[in-house]
Amino acid sequence: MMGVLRMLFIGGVVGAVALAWDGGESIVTAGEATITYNRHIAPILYQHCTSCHHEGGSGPFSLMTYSNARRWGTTVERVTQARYMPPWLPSGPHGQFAEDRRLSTEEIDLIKRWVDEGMAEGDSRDAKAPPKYTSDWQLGQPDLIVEMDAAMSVPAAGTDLFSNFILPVPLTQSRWVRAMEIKPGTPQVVHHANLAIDRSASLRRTHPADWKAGIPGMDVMVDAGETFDPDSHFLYWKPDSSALVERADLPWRLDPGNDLILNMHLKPTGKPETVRARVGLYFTQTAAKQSPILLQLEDDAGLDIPAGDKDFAVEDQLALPADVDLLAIYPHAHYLGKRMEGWAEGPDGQRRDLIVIESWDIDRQAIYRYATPMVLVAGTTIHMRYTYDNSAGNPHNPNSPPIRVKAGNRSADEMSHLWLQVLPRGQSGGGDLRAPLLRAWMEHRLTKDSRDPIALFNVASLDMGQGQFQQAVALYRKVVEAAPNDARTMTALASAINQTGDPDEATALLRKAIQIDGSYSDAHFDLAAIELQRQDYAGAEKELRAVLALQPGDAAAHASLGGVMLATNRVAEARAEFELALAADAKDFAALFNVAMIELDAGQADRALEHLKAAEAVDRDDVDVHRALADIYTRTGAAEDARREQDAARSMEKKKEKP
Amino acid sequence: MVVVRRLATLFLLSFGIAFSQALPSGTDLTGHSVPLAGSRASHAVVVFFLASDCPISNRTLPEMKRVQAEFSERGVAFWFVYPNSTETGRGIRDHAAAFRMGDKLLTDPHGRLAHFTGAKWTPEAVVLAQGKAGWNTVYRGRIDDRYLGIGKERPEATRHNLEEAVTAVLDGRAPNPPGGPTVGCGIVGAP
Repeated sequence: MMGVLRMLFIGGVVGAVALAWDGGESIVTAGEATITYNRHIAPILYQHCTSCHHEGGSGPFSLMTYSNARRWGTTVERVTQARYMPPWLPSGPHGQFAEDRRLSTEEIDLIKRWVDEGMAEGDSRDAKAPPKYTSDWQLGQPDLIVEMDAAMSVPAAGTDLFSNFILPVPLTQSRWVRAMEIKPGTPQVVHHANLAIDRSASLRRTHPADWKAGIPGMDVMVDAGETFDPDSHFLYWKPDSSALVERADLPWRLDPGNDLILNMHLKPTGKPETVRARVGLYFTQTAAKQSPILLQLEDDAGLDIPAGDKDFAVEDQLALPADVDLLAIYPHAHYLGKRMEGWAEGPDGQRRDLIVIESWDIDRQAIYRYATPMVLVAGTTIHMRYTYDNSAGNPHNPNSPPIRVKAGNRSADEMSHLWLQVLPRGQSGGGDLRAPLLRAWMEHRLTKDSRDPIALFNVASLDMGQGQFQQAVALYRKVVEAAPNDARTMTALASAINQTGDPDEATALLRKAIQIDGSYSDAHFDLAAIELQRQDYAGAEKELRAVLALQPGDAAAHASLGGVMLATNRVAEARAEFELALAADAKDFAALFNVAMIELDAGQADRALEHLKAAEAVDRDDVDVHRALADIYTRTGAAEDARREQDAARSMEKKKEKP
Repeated sequence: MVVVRRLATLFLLSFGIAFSQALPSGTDLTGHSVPLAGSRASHAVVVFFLASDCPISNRTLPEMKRVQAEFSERGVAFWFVYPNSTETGRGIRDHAAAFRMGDKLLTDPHGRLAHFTGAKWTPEAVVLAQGKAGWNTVYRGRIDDRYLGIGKERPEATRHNLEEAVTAVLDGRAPNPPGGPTVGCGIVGAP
């Protein structure tokens, strides 16, 4: 009796829908009322669902076969009706982002009708070939695999866990990474994972005892290190994006001494689990031709959300000083986040949406790459506006009853971040094109908080890069005043002071920095540099050996130590140090040049020539290299080459005198 | 407020009395019938409907086991029923071992338990209590309120509805209704 009623009801619905339906190939007419798995449903599942939902995939069950689809039909209907699956938060137009997996309204209707009709299999002649998935590395054997030091135990029950695992990278020379795949190990436990590069192993240093066990927290902050090298790439895993392939011209760099930090969101499954993630890296010989930069809008200081507030808003904006391509975007809040909006206002006042998320859900957070880069011209202002629901009506609220919430990296705290990956447009004539962007961002931060230590530090570093040493000293001093026991800032201040011509104060500060944190290698290195200036070779050697004890294989330390040896007439030892420097970094200029000089003295002109040419490739405008080349060519009788190199050296010297 | 609840209770009881009947048997993994009420006089029987492949069912298992541990020495019988026709004996044994669920495992090959209790989801809990004229379903629904919908998940449950229901039965009161939807995966019978 039930069955007959249901058939009648369905027949009526199909008739009505068929009129409105004008799909292409799989057109349904009133005469052909049955929706079948083979003809209509399998293609939808293969295109939108099975990349996660296959045996061994990250989805909790497979949807590869008819019997799978039948088993999960009612669930699939429910979650597609609610647009909970496939997971996709942005509400913008289709095609704005790459890998948009949303179903069309027609596809969602088809699934519902198929389930309502009783989930027929249909004619096997309509069956499409299922996609093939591999449990191996998607791109084949990686060039390097790094793994968590030990498996982490995830209890059977409880709240979600957020933990950061440090993966030291065993590299002896810098490499360019063209692709990466994170294998979470137990995908059903891992909700998402982000990867950060810790250039200076700073997190490991600040957690000497517990880093192997994982450091709890939703977000981490790491020290960018000494060179200008802002973060440039979003590195992540989400259930359907196993291998992350970068644009061919935009690989990212990994250096000896770097750590990878895997930030994982783990969800208890109901039984005890262990997680031991691996990261596979694929290298390329081709260095990046350009570098993107990650810019951030935020108003964490504005996050002070009263208990019960359903609609608390924060905003931020940043004016771009240069033309950029917007490549990708990453909105981030925790459990109270509600609506998120990012937009750009052009210099002509025209507004363009960058991303709109009507109903934020951290469980489905993702990084979105634009299908084609969005061009944002100089003078464009980027805006963000996030709202938060801290009421008891928000089921995700981590506090019951709600309490006042501020910014922080625990899951019960909040965040208000909108990250943008932008690539500066135009030719790099005078310096790194990212510098003005970083400066605009940091100076904007200072307008929000004039004592913001990160912004002060970064602006100071930018000033250093532009030779504005006095300004840098003033800014670093502000940071040191606020945090007088930070070896890192003290070292930076010392370096700036030394540049202004006061090595005595610089030395005193460096000794203090070492006293505060003897394991901070940069302080030792900078002290060695000053001692080298003063020709205190014994002192410099002691500090450089301290650096190498902390960071074996540090190319610059080996090269500097080689310099000490040369200055104290220990040529064989010097050569050994330079060779070690080159083993760590084949492009270390000082090592290349000095090895060549030693070889020249030893009468090995051929090898010297090779090293000098390599040095020239690193720095074309070094006078000494051209002089040395001229010298070699003279000795080997290549008069024409010798003349060319002499001319080159002379014109460079003239250039130097002129400005 | 109290008056309203009384009325609801009366209705529930009268409804229960009208339809109370003998408990159907469960089917163990070897295909044998098992009386649900157990050998000794039980005050109540709790039947969990679950599925080895349903994530929300699995995530709720620790709570099911907690309630079982709390009440199994107090005259309450507990059963874990795998109602889906897609389960296999081997799969159920592996699942029960991985989740350390003990041996109170049943299947429902003809859908009798689901039909008798009205269960449609996994995970779903049913509390059966003995009235004057036989066994009644006095609670059916969610185990706790952690899930409010697919994708609407609290960090932790704020109400332990099943625990409250069993406590009420042992105290001689009628349980409150679940107060929210059952969230999980639909039960699939034989095709």
